[in-house]
Amino acid sequence: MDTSATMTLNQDDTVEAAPLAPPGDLAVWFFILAELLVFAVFFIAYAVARTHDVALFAVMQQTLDPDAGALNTVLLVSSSWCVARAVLAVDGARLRTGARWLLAALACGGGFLLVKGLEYADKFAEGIGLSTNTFYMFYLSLTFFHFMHVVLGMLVLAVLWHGVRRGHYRRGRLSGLESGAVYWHMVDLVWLVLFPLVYVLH
Amino acid sequence: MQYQSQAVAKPYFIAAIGLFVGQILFGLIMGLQYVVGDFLFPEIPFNVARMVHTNLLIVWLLFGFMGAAYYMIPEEAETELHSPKLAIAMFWIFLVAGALTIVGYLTVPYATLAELTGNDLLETMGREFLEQPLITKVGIVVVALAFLFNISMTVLKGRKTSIALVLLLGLWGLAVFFLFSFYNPSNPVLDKYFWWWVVHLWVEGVWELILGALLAFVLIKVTGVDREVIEKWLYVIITLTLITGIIGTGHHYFWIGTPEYWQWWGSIFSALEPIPFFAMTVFAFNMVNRRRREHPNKAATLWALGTGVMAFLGAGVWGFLHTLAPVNYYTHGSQITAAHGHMAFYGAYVMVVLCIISYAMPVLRGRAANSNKAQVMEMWSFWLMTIAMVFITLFLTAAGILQVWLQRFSDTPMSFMATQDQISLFYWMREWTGVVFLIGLVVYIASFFVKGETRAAA
Amino acid sequence: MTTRHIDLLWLFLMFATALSWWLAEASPGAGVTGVVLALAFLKGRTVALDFMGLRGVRRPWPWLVGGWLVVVLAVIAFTFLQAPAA
Repeated sequence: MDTSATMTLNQDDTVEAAPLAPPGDLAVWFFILAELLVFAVFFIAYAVARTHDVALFAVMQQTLDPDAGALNTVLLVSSSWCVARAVLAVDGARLRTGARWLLAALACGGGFLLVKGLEYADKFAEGIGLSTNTFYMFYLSLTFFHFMHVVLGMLVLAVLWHGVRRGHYRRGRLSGLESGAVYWHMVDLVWLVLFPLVYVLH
Repeated sequence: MQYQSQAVAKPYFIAAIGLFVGQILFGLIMGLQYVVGDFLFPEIPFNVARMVHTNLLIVWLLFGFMGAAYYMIPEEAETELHSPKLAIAMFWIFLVAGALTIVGYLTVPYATLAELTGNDLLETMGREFLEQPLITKVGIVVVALAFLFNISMTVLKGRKTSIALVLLLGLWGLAVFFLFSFYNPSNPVLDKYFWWWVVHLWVEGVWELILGALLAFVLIKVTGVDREVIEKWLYVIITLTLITGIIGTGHHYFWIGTPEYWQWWGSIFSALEPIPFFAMTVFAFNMVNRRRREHPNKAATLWALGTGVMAFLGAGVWGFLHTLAPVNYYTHGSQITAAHGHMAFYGAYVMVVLCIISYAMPVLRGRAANSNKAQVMEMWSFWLMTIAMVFITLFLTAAGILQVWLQRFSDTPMSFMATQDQISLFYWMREWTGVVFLIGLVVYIASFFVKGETRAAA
Repeated sequence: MTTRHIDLLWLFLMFATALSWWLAEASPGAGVTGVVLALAFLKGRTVALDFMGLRGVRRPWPWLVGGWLVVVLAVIAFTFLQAPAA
């Protein structure tokens, strides 16, 4: 594996010719792959556990609010879009615009946390917990694990926003910004599987 | 040696190796007692030999970690140690307290020891790995705090590198989680629950941070790869370690009376615990392949690569082997656990401490690296000990599989002792392999006394 | 990649989300399951290739993330075929 070469190549990747390495830092990509593996194991465990008690899962899924899930999908996808726009803006040396897009992404992320928080509050008020049944064990674990990733991703976005405002990134020196952006897109990607699996399919 | 005060690491390393020898001797005694039940009875009963074997392991690794920190921190912080005198004083206190504790184990019946040392005041004894008398536990805390004060002050006044911060985080975590050894609820579920906060969160949590920091330090030294690159990997590795390791505690919560969701959490997250170890192996090989200098200390490089591979196998693969709840239902507390324990401790912690000793000792003795002859001998000891440990692990795994089969899986299960008779062949093989390990250790120690052409310290 | 291109992708993602949301109300069946999973695949692919910037990147990167998506969705599809909704 010549992963080593890409790591240094990446530092000043100007992305004019066909890019060889993925945007951002190799170490971050390694981390992302590990995270995706965690979620894959979780999703598969959910799907397999469901086959053992289809009726329970079908009934319990009815107690979730698909509107909240859909709204959260809109929020996360939109925030991903904002981050993509932010990277483009910074690449084009429009730093103020870039910072504003990041702020918009943060706002969407905050909206996600709020909606999810309300859903949790609703369930906890009904006395639902990890030991209620297998479905809720999975629902709470899976979504809360993802929730924590949104929190972490927002911290990363906040750091990026700060960095953009202070002019840390510019064309040819985007690795840090791209690494954070890629992480955020990963959080979005995971939700794009989680939403249909938990809210839609039954 | 760049800073005079790094010299305090030397007695720590020497004590560590000395106690390591003791640990192996008691391991051999115990290994023989598996097949010759009354060997050395009543002088050293099995339970005492086991206690000494495991306690010595932990104590010598702690000596190794402290020595490593005293060696690394001045160099990382680019300043002399806050107080070398305090470090030396703590060395003697820790050594004497440790020795007295072992003497106590060996000479006084455990119950009497408990009575003599004030266990009535605060009951903390009698739990696996936390058998130390109250005064020893308090002593450990005092020594740990003085040690942490010393190195934290050094870092505060000097350069703050990622390696130093990760090391500090690991060492502070080690001290903080040890405090749970004083908490002994009368409810056995809660007792076990928090007991794992010491045992598991040490070896699969904060100790891994120490491991990562030590490995990163040695890799920077022997490969000359940019600190930035190495530190980046260190961050990725410790984050993965913390995510998988902390929630992975759940694999101990399958059958002790804790809620059922732990079976899922424990299974899922501990299935991922091999990832950080895998990352560590990739990291070590990657850095050595990209080396920018040919460091004369080949032995240290070998230990660094070895710890990556063996930690991945022992902690990662052998851990995964039995952490899924449906598997663990059968294998819990069998010889498979012992197989995992041996290779994981050797691969992750013994090897990384020997790695830093291998790197630092020549420097402490005034040369960049040992003579070629001494290094060849050290590498022989590496292979002897490592291969012996691989076979110990394989024999114990075979014993474990047979044990599970006969005692738990069969339609006509055998009793525990009857099963033990059936697997005694593997215990014998393990014992002989243990002797090979001891020979490897003797060769290792002998390598310190080999003379020959050496280069002056850098 | 232009801003216009990214905006169009966002519109597509919004549309696909609306469609899955609408399907959440539909009566369950193999057809619905197939459509929902296909939508999830298309959305995930867009995020991986365009937002994460893996389009045109040398192998194995696009395959690793794409493979993740395919494997996860395939296993889910398989379990739903095995145990369809009651």
